[in-house]
Amino acid sequence: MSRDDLERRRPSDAPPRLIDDGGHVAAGLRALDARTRPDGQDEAAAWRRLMAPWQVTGARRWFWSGALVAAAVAVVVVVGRRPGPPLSAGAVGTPPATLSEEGLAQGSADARQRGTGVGPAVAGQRERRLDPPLPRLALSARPTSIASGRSALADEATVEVAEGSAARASADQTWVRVLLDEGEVGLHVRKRVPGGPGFEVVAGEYHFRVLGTTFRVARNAHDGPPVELWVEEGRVAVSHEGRALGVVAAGGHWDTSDEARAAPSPTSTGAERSRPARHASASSGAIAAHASASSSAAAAHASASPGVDHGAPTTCAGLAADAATARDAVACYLAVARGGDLAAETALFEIARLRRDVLGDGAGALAALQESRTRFPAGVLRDDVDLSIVELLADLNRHNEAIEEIGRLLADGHGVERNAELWEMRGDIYREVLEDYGHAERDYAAAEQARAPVVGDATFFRGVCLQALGRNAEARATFGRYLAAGTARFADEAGRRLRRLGR
Amino acid sequence: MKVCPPGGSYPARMDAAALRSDDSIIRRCVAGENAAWRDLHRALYPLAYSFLRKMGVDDAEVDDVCQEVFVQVFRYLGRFQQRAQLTTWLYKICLSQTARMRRRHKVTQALVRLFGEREASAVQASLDLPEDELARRTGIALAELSDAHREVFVLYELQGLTGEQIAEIVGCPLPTVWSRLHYARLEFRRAVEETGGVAASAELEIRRADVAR
Repeated sequence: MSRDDLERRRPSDAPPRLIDDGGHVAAGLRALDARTRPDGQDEAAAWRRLMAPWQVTGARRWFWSGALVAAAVAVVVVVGRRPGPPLSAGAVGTPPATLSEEGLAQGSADARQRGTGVGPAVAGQRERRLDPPLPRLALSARPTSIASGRSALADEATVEVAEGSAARASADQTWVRVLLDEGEVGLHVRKRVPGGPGFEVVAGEYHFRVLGTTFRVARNAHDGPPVELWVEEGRVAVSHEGRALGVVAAGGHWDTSDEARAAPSPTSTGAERSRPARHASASSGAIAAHASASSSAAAAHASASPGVDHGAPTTCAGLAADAATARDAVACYLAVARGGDLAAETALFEIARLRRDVLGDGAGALAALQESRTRFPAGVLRDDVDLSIVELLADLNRHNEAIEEIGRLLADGHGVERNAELWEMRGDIYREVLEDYGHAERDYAAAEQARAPVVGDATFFRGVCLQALGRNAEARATFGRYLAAGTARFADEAGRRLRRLGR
Repeated sequence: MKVCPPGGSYPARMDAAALRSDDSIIRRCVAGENAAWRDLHRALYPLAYSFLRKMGVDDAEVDDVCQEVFVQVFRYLGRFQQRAQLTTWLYKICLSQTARMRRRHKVTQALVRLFGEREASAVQASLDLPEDELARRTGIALAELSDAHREVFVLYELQGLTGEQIAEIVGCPLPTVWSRLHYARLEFRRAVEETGGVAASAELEIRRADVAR
């Protein structure tokens, strides 16, 4: 057959496959095909390897080795080209009076040279990473004065107090606070961790609560609204005297005139009320808050989220109802969850639900549930929290932990009515993931007994395990019992297995 | 409000064939649903593993290469536009990873030539079962094919794909697929004969009968 003939062949002219022949070539191909198929154990092991990035193998080992070498070289080069003077005191948190138009222009030029759109503050922040360690303020519940210039606070936060400003700081188990008496401060705060203290700036009676974002707060002494908020990244929850006002999104703006309208301030984007150029400072991964305050104001917790309609009354539940604002809802609930009452317990559970079901963040959901269990060991949602933790551990492929957790819950005797559910869940893990049919069968048997006389899925899966264990007579009896219940979900499969066992 | 559904049962395994044609699994994966990723891996792993083995990835390396394939799948599934079947896309990734592995081998071989002889690895034929030996010799014959011919040959003869699907995976016109298949078959038959195919076949028939006894 010539090449032309071959290339004129139509799709319907596909030749018969060699493997369908009866010759020795076909036998060889069939043998090869059979020998190159993985078994179930291979797949489970591969999945575990894939989900365990620290088990670096093969090409990844080379990749990471190369990356480490490159990183080491980069560090050497960067250290060798150590930048000159550290960030000037005015670069971050400088009072407006000292931040001249010339300075802004220079900062913008610097930013342009770096090919970025950020202002002088951010440019300064990049270099500051190599600065020597800052003096660390020892904090207590009693407010301590902060000297002008930059200082380190608890929890990796740094504060920069502008010349002529007065600020104090305090810390307890619940909050790290910066109290701004006069002038302006710049703050860089790490993202809050569940269970750790919150961070807030108190400017008179206004409270600006950090939830893991980048935002700035300014006090306009002579013109404009008394206090304003610009959210650059993430979300900020706003509340007043304990009443949640809403959430402002990245690019959003809030001021006290919004509060006067009895609505959460959030403007949907910065386009409508773009923030002054002098405030253009943000660094990814850090929270930068510039707060300037006078001595008076009403208490307000600010938390921002994008995409919230301006002026619309917003609640955590309202935000949670829409997947698009789920992250804002989580930020909102985080503020509520700092309390110690039922509302806080419910908020933690709602955070877990949102993270798992809407945001696909199983690990985050698990953290919220574990925090709930730690903080509310006798909470009204305790049973649901326990079960959800088990479910999440299984979803996260932390099967051994899930099994241990179930063992602990069963041993506690806490929530006996849930035991059947727990046995069945553990049986599923043993059967599906670990393929340990012996343990699975025992768990299904316990679940079956606990639910008797009701016959459910546990009976069917017990039969599957018995069959896998070669205990055919018991498997037949189990499938028979399952089918006799009449409402079996896996009736077809049980019948098929029963027929096969009967042969 | 419960995170755990009432009855809280662990999801039953999805049928692999059904999963491969299920668009919703991709949406669920992209949405970050862990259970969906698990189902996807269960469904696609056997396909990727066996294809890689047939493409000449040896036993010692197949786990690593397969892992790289799924790292790519996980990383880029969000960009998969579903114009082709998911399995077609998977085959493409497998082929690219196989090519990467071969390039690594070439570098290794060059280094061995530069810095001295590597201890020859003894090829131990498995003689426990005739089928093992038959599979081994078929594998050797497959390894004799050029990359382009082996891709088409394996996809058509062993993976059971249509010419159109193969054309999409390897990125060539359909007539080229038929042409490559024709020459791949000629090469393969010749390689089988060279590995003692006919004589071995008869010998293996005798041994198979012995094993059966």
